[in-house]
Order: sequence, then structure tokens, then C-alpha cells
Amino acid sequence: MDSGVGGRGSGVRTSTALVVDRTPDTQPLTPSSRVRPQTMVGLAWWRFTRHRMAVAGLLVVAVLGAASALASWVSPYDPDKPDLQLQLRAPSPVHLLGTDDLGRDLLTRILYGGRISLSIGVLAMTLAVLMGTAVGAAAGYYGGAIDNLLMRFTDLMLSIPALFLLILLILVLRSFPLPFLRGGVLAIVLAIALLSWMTVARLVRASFLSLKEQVFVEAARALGVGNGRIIIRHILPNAASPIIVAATLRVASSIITESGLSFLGFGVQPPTPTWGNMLKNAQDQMITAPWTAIFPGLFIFVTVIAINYVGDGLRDALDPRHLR
Amino acid sequence: MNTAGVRRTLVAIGLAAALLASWPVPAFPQAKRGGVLTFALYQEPETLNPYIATQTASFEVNVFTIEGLLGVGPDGEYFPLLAKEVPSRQNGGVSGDGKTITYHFKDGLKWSDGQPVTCDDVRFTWQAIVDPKSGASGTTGYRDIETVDCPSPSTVVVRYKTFYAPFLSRFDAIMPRHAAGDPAEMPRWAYNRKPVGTGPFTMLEWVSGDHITFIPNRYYREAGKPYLSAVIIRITPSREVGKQLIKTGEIDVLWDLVESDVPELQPAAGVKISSAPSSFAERLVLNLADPTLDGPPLDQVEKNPHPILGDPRVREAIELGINKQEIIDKLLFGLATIGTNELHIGWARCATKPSEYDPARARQLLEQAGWKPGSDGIRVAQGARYAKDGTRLRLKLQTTTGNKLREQAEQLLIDYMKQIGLEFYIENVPSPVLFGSWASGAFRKHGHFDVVLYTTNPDVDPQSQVEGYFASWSIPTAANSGAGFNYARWGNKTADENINLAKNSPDINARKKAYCAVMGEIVKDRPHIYLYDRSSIHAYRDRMQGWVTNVWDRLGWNAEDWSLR
Amino acid sequence: MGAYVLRRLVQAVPLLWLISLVVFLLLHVIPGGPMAAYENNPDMTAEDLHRLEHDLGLDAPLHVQYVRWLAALVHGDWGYSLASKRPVLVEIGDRLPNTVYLMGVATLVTLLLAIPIGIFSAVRQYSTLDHVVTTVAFMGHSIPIFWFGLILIIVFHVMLRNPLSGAPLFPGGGMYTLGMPFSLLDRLHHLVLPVGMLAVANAATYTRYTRASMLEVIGQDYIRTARAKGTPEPLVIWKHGLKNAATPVVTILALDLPALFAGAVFTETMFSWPGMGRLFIESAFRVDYALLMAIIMVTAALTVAFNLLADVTYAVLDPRIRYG
Repeated sequence: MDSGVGGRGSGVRTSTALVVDRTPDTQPLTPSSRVRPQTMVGLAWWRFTRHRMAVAGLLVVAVLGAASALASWVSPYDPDKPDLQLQLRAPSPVHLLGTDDLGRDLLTRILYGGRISLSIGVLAMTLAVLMGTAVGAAAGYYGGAIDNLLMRFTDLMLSIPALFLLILLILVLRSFPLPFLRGGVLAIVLAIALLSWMTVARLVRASFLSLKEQVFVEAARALGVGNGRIIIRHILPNAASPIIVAATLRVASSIITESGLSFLGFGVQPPTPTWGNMLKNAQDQMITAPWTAIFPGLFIFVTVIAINYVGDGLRDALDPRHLR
Repeated sequence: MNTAGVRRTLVAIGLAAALLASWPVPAFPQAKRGGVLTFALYQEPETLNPYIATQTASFEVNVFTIEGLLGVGPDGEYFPLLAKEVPSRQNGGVSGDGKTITYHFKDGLKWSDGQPVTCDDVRFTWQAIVDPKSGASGTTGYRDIETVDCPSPSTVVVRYKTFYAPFLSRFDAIMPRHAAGDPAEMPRWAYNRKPVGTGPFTMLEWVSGDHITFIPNRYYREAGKPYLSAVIIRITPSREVGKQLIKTGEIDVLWDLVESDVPELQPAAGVKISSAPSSFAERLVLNLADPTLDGPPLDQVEKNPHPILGDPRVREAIELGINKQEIIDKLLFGLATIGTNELHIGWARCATKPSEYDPARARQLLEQAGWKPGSDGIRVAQGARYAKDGTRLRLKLQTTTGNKLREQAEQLLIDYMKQIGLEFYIENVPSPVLFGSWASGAFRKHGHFDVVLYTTNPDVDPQSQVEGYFASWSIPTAANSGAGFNYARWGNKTADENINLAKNSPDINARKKAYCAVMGEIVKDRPHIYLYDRSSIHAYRDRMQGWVTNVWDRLGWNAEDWSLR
Repeated sequence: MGAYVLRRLVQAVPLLWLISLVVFLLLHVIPGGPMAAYENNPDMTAEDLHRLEHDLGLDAPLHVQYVRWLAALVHGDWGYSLASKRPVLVEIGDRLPNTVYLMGVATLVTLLLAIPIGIFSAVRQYSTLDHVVTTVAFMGHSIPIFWFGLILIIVFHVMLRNPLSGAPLFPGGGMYTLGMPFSLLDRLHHLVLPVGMLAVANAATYTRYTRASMLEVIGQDYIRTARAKGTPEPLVIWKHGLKNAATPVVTILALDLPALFAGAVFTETMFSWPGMGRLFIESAFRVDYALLMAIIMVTAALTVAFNLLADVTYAVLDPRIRYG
């Protein structure tokens, strides 16, 4: 339903007659001096790069991801070691974003925090997409009981405010001794995934419902191809684009969800820094040290915008049909 | 006048002057009558019934109207409240075997509805507490009472079945038989929302979520008091809002501040801060038993000590490696006192020397104890007493989630320990989990932990705390259904003997000595490491007079003396 | 239509029952629980604790506890809050109106902002205004709501001051100034920041929906017909366009109630608003079983009711939809 962002409003009118691909081999109808890529992926990439903000978003995510992953090389400071002489210093050339209540460099903690926040986003998304695709494909293809069950179940889950259910789930999951991953990260990932796979499932189901009526599926069946193969080798690739877009957007929403939970105190526990729990900590110091509240949130904001733009770009790139 | 006459006159004047000078000056001679005092609480009380309530807020409210036979003063000593005097051997209030206590009521005591206060009300209070259906929490001591006899309406004779050392702490709230109800229905009494008491005030109204109004009790025993015409308890949404309100003067008393609030409020015009060391001590509780065992009793603990913490040298090293003063200075704004032992204030206080901060000595001790530095700075066992060679010097540190001060302290502790080669790793849990029951599988009760950080405090009478936490028979095991608070699973003969002595001795000095002996053992052996003693911090406006800080009781303990300028 | 409504109502019952079962099971897996308040009191003997557990019914086997609870529920006894000992319904009754008040005002503001702006933007597609609106809406959609709230507090409560009195420009919490008699102005003053936090973030999302919806409507035949008939343009937009564009948006809003609740939780926590969201968080920390269950059941029931209301309203407003 969303027609995207105004990156296209700057004067370049993309006529809908330009590229109408239902299959990858259609030649563009208007004359063009540029040679357009011919492969599906290449074409998609070309379309993606036309979307300026999406490219910018991709760059931002890449830079942030790299900086976080390589945080120990990027920053000379130790994110955990307290230095009580430097409590709550304002941003300065020595500490670009200031220090926190235990004298630790804020930028360093944000970078290390990025590791957790970004990984949780990606892991939760992966889990949700895997579960959602599996269930949604089964429901959409086989219909019947599975479909019914899925629909009833999603109705059930959607009737309870997600935040409440999330908090309950986290309390439950935390009580099982989950080893490795400090601060209950695994519990958070599981909880978020368990509550977001339904949207993916519904999406996949819808795709499958329409795709399974297509001729190529009939043909495959006539040839005696088994159901499993049909689902995986034939239908799924065609359903891939909305899944990819949904997955990307899911990363953004997972990051926000994790931050929100940590902000309320149910997310990742200190000392492991995440952007969310750094914001929570900053609440006491808002008057004396507002930078401790402004910057972690700013990073969440910028990351989420960037990912959303990438998602938008992907949507344009993979499914230009929605452009009207 | 002749010289003799002059001399006589001068002497007379001198005598008169001396007499006047020594005349007991009334406490607040210029107390103005009238005025409404507003008291801010950031927590709404659950119930005002003194024997069901668990929240501190409930007690901060019911103090204005509910009183007991005795009170506790700022010095931690008992004083008579409804009783004429504190029962003792000397005045015959306590029998030779210590099992019969006699209280005499002050004259002319009346409830706030005009009914006389009688011994029968004390008997009723006891009956309500011990009634199996009444839902009373904390029945210890009351269960040991055989009878409450009333030889006259103003004489109360309490006979204990067995000697109960903290008997003075019982009956700290008396409930009226005629205004309460059937003990079996206690959780549902109307009294719980609108108590009838003997205190200086009586409740006018309670508007849920908003405020509680108290007006003077016209039957109050002290003539001319209280001075205030009303006390309004405002339920504020949060401490933050309370801080704003006291700065603008919309409230007069702000309850329960933390250290980090002080820098903001201290410079504010018209605001006074009351800060005094309280009995709350923040400490590390060390598990002396093997954490893989489930609720091991003492004999099992002796055979299976904690591989790391079982060695007292390691425990000593940990304490030496903590810079307690820095924690106090940097995290608590210097507003706490360094932790020494369980009984650092009160009538039973025992002064012991605080530990030194000596990381070099700590490292030495660890070396001697068989923990050699590893490749990454964390020590590894090599000839350690209980740990297998190759074990890392690594301990789990746990406290409640959502407590910023504790989280900060944990960070500092991790850093201090790193410097002596010990690794702390954190696994905090929500407070219902930390303080959970044996039946619910709580790890603290079952002994599945290494080090736990939290605050607890002894009562005015330290017996239940000292016995509960340090007696060897208070170790929670399956056999006693997890009763007891000796989470450290510490068994010390000297301590046990002295705890028993204190438990059974009616002689207060003997008890003091015994407790001090126990403290000595604790300081030597370190089942708990005391970090700092919290201060009880509150704020009030300077227009308020009559404030007397008393860490042993609630803020309103002397509300009858409060007045406004 | 009547048959449809009836059928939906009947379907709601097993749904709610299932929700209660799920929530009950989840809650009882969590260790600790309401006895923790008594655990730390050395004055309580083991017998006292057992007695209390028995009184509260916590020592019975799980299924017995559930059946007891369900039976009580049906009889209108929703239990007592284990912390305050007051009936759960009274606790909720105290707080629910405050949440409804907050969410109601916020929703109104959201719609008042989103619909006109969305329509305006759609009508002037590709103009600078449209570009600005879509970009701002995109950002608002991506911003973490709790961070936005923190920024609002920092700017409007900490930094900006009333030039006359020196007091903060807007209050930092509460529904009204304590001790003051009822004053509409005071109430509004306290509403500004919390509603701003809730409404602005939501308005961004709903502006996008409205815009997209309006774009669809504009392309429809009946709009072209109206224009052909010579109807003045403003009338075309605001009479025909508005109704058709706004309807799906309002419907989505109604269906999105649980998500709005989540936003309210953050707002209530940060602004010390005595509402149900904050009650839930407090109860979650204390594991106050009865209260937690009741809050979830109440919100689930409200959600189901609102879903039904939304569907019915949609059907009423859009005569093309007919339910059997």
C-alpha cells in the first residue's frame, strides 16, 4: 500500500511503461542508449542504484556495521573499564561523544553496543523469516487444516499487545538457564523472533496462494515433480522478493524492539552495552548530561532510517510492479 | 536594705535563676498551631494493617495513627509510648526467668473514636496475629506467647512459653478489638483502609492514587498536640516529580531519596536534607559451599566446600581488593559509611575495624592460596586448597536488575577484581527471582550461586537477623523446607554458641557482648563482605519545625511535635 | 450483518479462553513470584510462609489453580493484586480511564494531523511539499518512540524555560499539578508532551497510509466522473476523496490498537502517567500473577472488541463489502 519515499520526486519521472518485467527476459520498450543488465540480479541491482537514498542507506549500514565489528581497532578505549575521574564529561576532542556515568567513552560503548543491537536485529530476523517462510509456505500451498491453524494462531497472537507478550516471554525464557551469550541475548532474540514470524508467514502464505495457481506450477505437477520440490525450487524463488523486503524491514523493527525492551529494563542487561539500555541509564542524567541520552538514540534512529531506505530501494528493485 | 538583706536577696535571685535555668525547656516552645503539612510518597500503600503490610510506604503512613506499647528512639533504644515505662528486671516489668513481661498503660489512653484503650486490645492484637487465617506476616515471638492476661484494664501481663529475647520489639502496634473485626477476616477489615489508633492523627479520607488526609486526633493523650491542623500524604507518580515539588514548596516532606538526588536538592533554597546512617548494609554474600549441590546441610558443606570461596584466604583477598571508600565517594557522593559488620549502629552496635584497601596484599594472599597468574591476567589454580589445577579464578556476581547503583557498583567490582587477577561475570535477575522462595526454586535459597550483592538490615533487636543469617541451624535445606537465611552456609562454633547465649539471656549487656563476639567471627571469616552502609536520606522544607531524624523508625515518629513556621 | 456480528462474538469466546490458558501457563513458569516480598523478612517463620502460600492458593497443582482462577473469573471475581491486596478489577478500574484518556487524545491528534496532511500531500504529488511530507513522515515512522520522548523532555522540560517564572516550559510528568483544583488548562499543559510523543510518531505512519490510500482514490473512476461533472475541485477532494481515503486508514488504526498500547506503555513510564501500561510494567517486575493476567485479558478483550467494531464500521461505510 505504500508508494515509498520521495527520492523519486526530484524530477526523474519513471514512466510505468519503461520496465514491466513479469519475466526477466523482456526487453525494455523505450529506446535507450545505455545497455541495461540482462540478468535478474543485475537488473535488480541497477534498479536499486537508481534509488539514491537506498544507496545512501546501504552505505550507512555498511559503515556502522564495519565500525561496530571492528570496534576494538577503531577505538582506543575499553568499553567496560570504569574511570571514575572522568564521570559524565561533555563531548570533547578527546571523547568525541562525551563519557558516561562511570567515565567510559560514549562513542566506544555505542560502537560495541552496535554489535549487540545489530546482531540481535539480524538474528531475530533470520529466525523469524525461516520460521515464517516454512509455516507460510505450508499454509499457502497445502491450505486446509494447516492454513486454518495458522490463521487462528496468528489471530490469537495479534489480539494481545505484542509488548506485553514479549515481556512475558522474556521473563519465561530468562528463567531457563540459557548458557553462552551474556545478558540474556539469546532470550531476546528468541522472544522477538517468536512474535514476528507471523507477519512473514502471512506474507508468504499470500504469495503462495496466488503463485500456486500459476501455469508453471501446473506444468511442474503435470511433469510429476513432487510437492516439496515445487515449493522450494519453483514457487519460493518467485516469492522471494517480498520476503527479502520484509526481512530487511524486519531487521529495523527488531532493532527498535530490542532497544525498547532494554529501555524498559527487560532487554539486554548491563554490563553488556546496547543502544537501548544505554538510553535507560541516561534517564537519570538527562539534566546534567543530556548527551548520554541523545547519542545512543541517534544511532538507533539513523540505523533504522538507513535500513528502511534500503528496504524501500529493494522493494523498487525487486518488485517494480508496485510502482504505478 | 542592710547587707545581710541584700545578700539574701541576691542569693534568692541566684537560686531562682538557677532553678529557671535548669527547668526542663519544652521541646518546641515557639511551636505555632495550625497549618497543613504535605508529605510526598512515591509509592501508594497497599494496606495500613501493620501486621499484613510489607511495603515501607504502608508503615510511613500508618505511623501517624497507629502506636505500640514501646517506641524506638534515634539512639536505637526503646522508650515508653503507650506503656508507662520500658519493662525491665529493675522495675519488675520482667520476671526472673524473663518469660513474664508486665506493661502498665499510661493513664487515660483513648482510641481516636473515644473508646478507652484497655489490656483487652493487646490481647486481641495477639489473637489476631496468631490466628491461622489472619494472613499476618511475621508471627515469630507471638507464637511463643502462652497467654496475655489482664489483671486490670491498664495492666498487661504477657506470658511467654519459652524465653524470647527480642520481647521488647513485640506489640509495636496495638489494634482495637471494637474497631477491627474477626481475626479470620483480617485481610478484609475496613480497619486496613481506615485504621483507628492512638496516635496524634486520625484518617479523614483516602482518595486512591491521589492522597490521604489526616486530621488531629482529639483524644490524643498529650494535651495541646499535635500542632498541625492536617497532614496530607500525597502520592506522587515518581521520585522525580517529588523533587520538583519540594523545590517549589508544594510539598513539605519528601520521603526516601537516594544519594544521587542530593546534589540536585542540596543547593535548592528552602530545602533541608536529612541524612543519617541507617542500619541497611549493602554486602556481598559469599557461598561457602559447592554451588552445584542443592541446598546442602552443614555436614555436606564441610565435605564439599566451594572450590574458590571455600578458602578463607581467597575471601580475604577479595575484601582487600575492593576500594570501598572509592565506591562511596564516586557512586554515593560520599553519603554512605564504609561497611564494617552487621551491627554498626543501634544499642547492640559493635565497632570493628573497616578493611583496608590493599590490592598488593590481596595478590600476595592469592599467590599463597595457590592461584597463579594466567596468560590473560586472570589467575589459574596451581596447588589451590579446594580447586582442581587449571581452574580459572572466575566467579558469578549477581544482584537485582533495574537498580542503577548496583549495576554501577558491579562494574567497579569487576574492575577491582581484575586488578588482583579475579574475574567476576555478571548475571543479574529481577528481584522476585533473587528473593524467591525455596519452593519456587530460587537459586539463593538452594545455594546455586557464587556471590550475591544486596542490602538487608537488622531490626532494632538484632536477634532474628543475626540468628537467621549466621547460625548454623539457619542453613536452608530440603530437610527444613528451605527455612533460614544462612545463604553463605557458614558454620562457626563460636558464633553459634554466642547466638544461643544472646537468644536465651534476659541480660542486655550479656547479649551485647555475645553479639559482638559473633561480629568478630564474621569479620574474621567473611561469609559476608560489607561494602557500605546506606544512609537514610529524606528532604524537608525549612518552614517545618520539629523534625528529628530517627533511622530506627519512620519519618512521622514524632509527628505530634511537628509544626510550621 | 447481524448474523456476522453474532458469529464473530461467538468466535471470540474460545479465542479469549485460549489466550487465558497461554498466559496462565507462561506466567507460572516464571520463578520467584509474589512470595518474594515476604522472603527477605527474617521474622517470618517457615510455617508463616507456607500458610501464606496456602492462603493465596499458590501451593495447589497448576491445573487446579487455573480452574479455580477461571471459575472465579466467570463469577466476576478476578482476584486480588498480590501486592496491594486490592481487587484486581479495582486496580485496573483506577488506571484504565487514564490510559483511555491518553490514547484517545493521542489518536485524535494523530488523525487530525495525518489525514489532512496525507491528503494534501497526495493531491500535490511530486511537489516540494509532497517531498517534504514524505521524507518527514518516513523519519517519523523510523524514529524510536522512547528516544523521541527523551528528546522532547530534554528540549521542552529541561532546556526551555518559562521566561517569566523560570519553571520548565512543560511539566515532566503526571496528569495534573498535585494539590491544584481541577483546571482544564493545567490538564492540557500536562498532556502536551505525552501526547506529542505518542501522536507525532504515529502521525508519521498514518500520513503515509493516508497518502497512499488517497493516491489510490484519486485514480478511481468516480473521481474522474465528479471532475467531469464540473464539481469544484475542493469538493471533489474533501467530499469524495476524504471519505474513501480515510475509511481504510481509520480501520487500520482500530486494528492497530495493540501497537498503540505499546506506545502508551513507554509514554506512561516516562511521564509517570498512572495508566494500565505502567501498571503492567510494575506488575511484571513484581510477578503479580493476578494483576498480570487480568491486564492481558482486559486488553485482549478490548482488542477483539475493537477489531469487530472496525470490521463492522468498515462494512457500514463501504457498501461494497457484504458479510454473509
